[in-house]
Amino acid sequence: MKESIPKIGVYVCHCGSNISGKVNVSEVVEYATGLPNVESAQEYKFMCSDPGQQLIISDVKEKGLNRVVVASCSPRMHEKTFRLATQTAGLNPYYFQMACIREHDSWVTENPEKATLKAKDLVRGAVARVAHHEPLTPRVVDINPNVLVIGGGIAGMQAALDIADAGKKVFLVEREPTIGGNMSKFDKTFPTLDCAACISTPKLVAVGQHKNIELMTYSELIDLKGFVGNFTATIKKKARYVDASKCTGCGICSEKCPSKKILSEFDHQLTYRTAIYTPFPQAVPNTRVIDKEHCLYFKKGKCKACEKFCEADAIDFNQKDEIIDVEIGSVIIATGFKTFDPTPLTQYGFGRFKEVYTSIQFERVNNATGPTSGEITTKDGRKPESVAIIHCVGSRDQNHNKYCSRVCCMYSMKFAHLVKEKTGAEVYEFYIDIRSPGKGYEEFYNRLQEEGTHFIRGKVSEVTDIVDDPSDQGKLTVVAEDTLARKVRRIPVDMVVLSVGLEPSEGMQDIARMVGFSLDSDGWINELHPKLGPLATASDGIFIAGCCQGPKDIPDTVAQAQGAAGSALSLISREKLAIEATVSVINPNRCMGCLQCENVCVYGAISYNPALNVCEVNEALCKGCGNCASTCPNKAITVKHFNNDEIMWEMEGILSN
Amino acid sequence: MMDNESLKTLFFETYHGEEIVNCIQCGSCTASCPLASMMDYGPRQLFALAREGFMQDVLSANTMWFCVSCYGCTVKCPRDISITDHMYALKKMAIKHDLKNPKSKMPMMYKSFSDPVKKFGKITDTSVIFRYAFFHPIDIMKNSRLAFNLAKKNRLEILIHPIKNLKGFKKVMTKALELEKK
Repeated sequence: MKESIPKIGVYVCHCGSNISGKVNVSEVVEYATGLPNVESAQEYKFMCSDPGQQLIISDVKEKGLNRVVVASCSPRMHEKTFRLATQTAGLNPYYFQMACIREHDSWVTENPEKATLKAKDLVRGAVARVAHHEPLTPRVVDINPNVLVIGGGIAGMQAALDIADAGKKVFLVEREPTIGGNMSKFDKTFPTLDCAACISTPKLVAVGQHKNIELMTYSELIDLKGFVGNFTATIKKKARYVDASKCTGCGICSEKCPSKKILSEFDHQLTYRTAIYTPFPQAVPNTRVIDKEHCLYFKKGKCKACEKFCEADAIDFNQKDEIIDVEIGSVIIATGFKTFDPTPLTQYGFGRFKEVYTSIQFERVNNATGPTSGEITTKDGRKPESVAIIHCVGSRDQNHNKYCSRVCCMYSMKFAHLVKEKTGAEVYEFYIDIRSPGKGYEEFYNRLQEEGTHFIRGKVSEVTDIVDDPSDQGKLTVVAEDTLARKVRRIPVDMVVLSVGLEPSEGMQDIARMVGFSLDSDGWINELHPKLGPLATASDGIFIAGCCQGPKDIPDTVAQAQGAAGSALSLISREKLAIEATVSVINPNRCMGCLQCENVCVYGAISYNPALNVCEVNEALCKGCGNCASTCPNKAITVKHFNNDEIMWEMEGILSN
Repeated sequence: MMDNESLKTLFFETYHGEEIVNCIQCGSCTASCPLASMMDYGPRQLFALAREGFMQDVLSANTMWFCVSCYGCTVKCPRDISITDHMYALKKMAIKHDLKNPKSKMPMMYKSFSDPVKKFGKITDTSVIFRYAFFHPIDIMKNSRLAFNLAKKNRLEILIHPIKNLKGFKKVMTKALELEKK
């Protein structure tokens, strides 16, 4: 319903002296008055102020205006403000056009005369365009209040608890048989040296018991469809072959299982587990899992020892993988990290020398539930006399990961403290730079110096079993330049700990494709904005928390998890969501289903309808970027509010001087 | 000798040394160098001096002349700096612009190796020894016992046998030098 005769009101803003300092505003107003269809033109000191907006509203009512042009700052600043004013005045909000005479003119033009001339051109363009605007209505959709959290580490658990405590339903999906993630493998946490299990197990239990959390362990997300507020997630629950409702977690099955020589994933290959197992004693849920790959029954068709001894009758060899769909309004990704595998760095001898450990293995060595019950001993049971800790293994290295993994310096110093405390051994920290930014972190570094830890500034070039002194036979020699003392050091040690960096978890590419966010060159999730949108992604309704966004320590992870929970809650509490009307539309009569638009759409908003052989736009996902419209070879796509007519008229206006 | 500033410009721009600004001074080059104990400065410190403009110290050091091109440093460098190549560049620069340390015997040693190659297409024991002996006879005297022992075991080639098709080889060399000038 286009009004037959446009009656346009033009308002030129001084913006204090930001615009009027260069542009002769009165001249622009006078010029605008003479433009076609312009009913009135006025100037004002601050158009965005309340009286400024009132000016528009009263003019529309008194002078019968039906189109509004404001010449002021960038639309990014105040387009919303003036659209709202236009709407309040009783017009369609899209009957408004903004001419940017500040960022595009007064701020960047030296000569006042030229600035005024440009302002006139821009106003003329806006006036020409606004006459051809079409009224648009934003669509309103319902928001499903359920949230899906992917990953049950400390980030996922914290986010799930916060949302569940607010009374909303949470689906927590975890790939492993238990929640807890990497934090549950740790012994102590820096710099306060709290016991990691003591602070994380209560969270595991709380998640397991919360009535608003539906915990899905040993499960994976296999598909996510829909748009903000209305997603459908498809989740595969892998068969445990143990009935969770019957299993009491007594553990007799594991005792009787004959396959006992399977390297434990939880202990990072330092110990063995059985084919029916639970990763660690405090696992939640405490339901055992049969590892199909190693179970004798699945391999050879006989055994069933666990079934015979299970008093609860919980073993069920006929269980099948289950695929379920859940309806949700928002997703929090908290997939965490994995540690760098140092095998390619052959000079450090990992896998070749038995006394070379990765840091996550050393966490297990220190842990009371680990292979040595928390004692630090060499594999042949000796107490070490000296231990080397090598920083930056796989991090800050152009051949591996270019970035700094951020937590290694601090956990290395924690190890140094624990070694000193438990064994009294000499500890050598080989570092490039000590990075200890955080509350109490620098103080912890200082404490370690006072404890007599040797800090040697130099990257280790080699770990070798060739010793200089025959009495050191059986030890490992660590070679590095002490760059501050300018000496090449060859230090014999009993144990070597490689402080390996952090890498994104396995399978991030798949989740990124499914959920629709992008990864940076290192594989971490790209946040919406590095400063102002650290927890959101480019896809609305998808939030991120913890190490999936980049390496970080536990306090930062928990802070992000609570932030992401807050963001998700703020979204789902709105119940309804207005979707921007400036989206693209495909004319099915012109579309030939070539799918070129689908290829260029970064928001996954375009899908193909094989029944009609045309592409269709999901308005909820479309951001109106116009990629598709400019790609379409048949000109079947138009972007509302940026259609060819409107753009051509604006150009006509600007160039018609 | 040129001043430090122009030497740095020469090294960085003509000899592609600007890459060393990426060095994080971790010392893994020096620690993996088999000859570090013989050097005035390890590669790490040499680069620290170079990028801060102490080029005269760099050029009078023996570091690059002692490099045996084992590439151990280059393999381990976390910043992927072609350390060995920069050693070659510094040597080349020192010879081409006559910036070598006048007290050092090393440039002469290198020349004793490269000259026979130009002439015979390969190095032979006696051709190297004679060239070096001409400038540093005392050094050769010190090593005469080793030469004698090698000769006893038939490990010292006394007669010079140039390579086959020496003419062709020289053509290749001329072309290579021509290309380098471009």
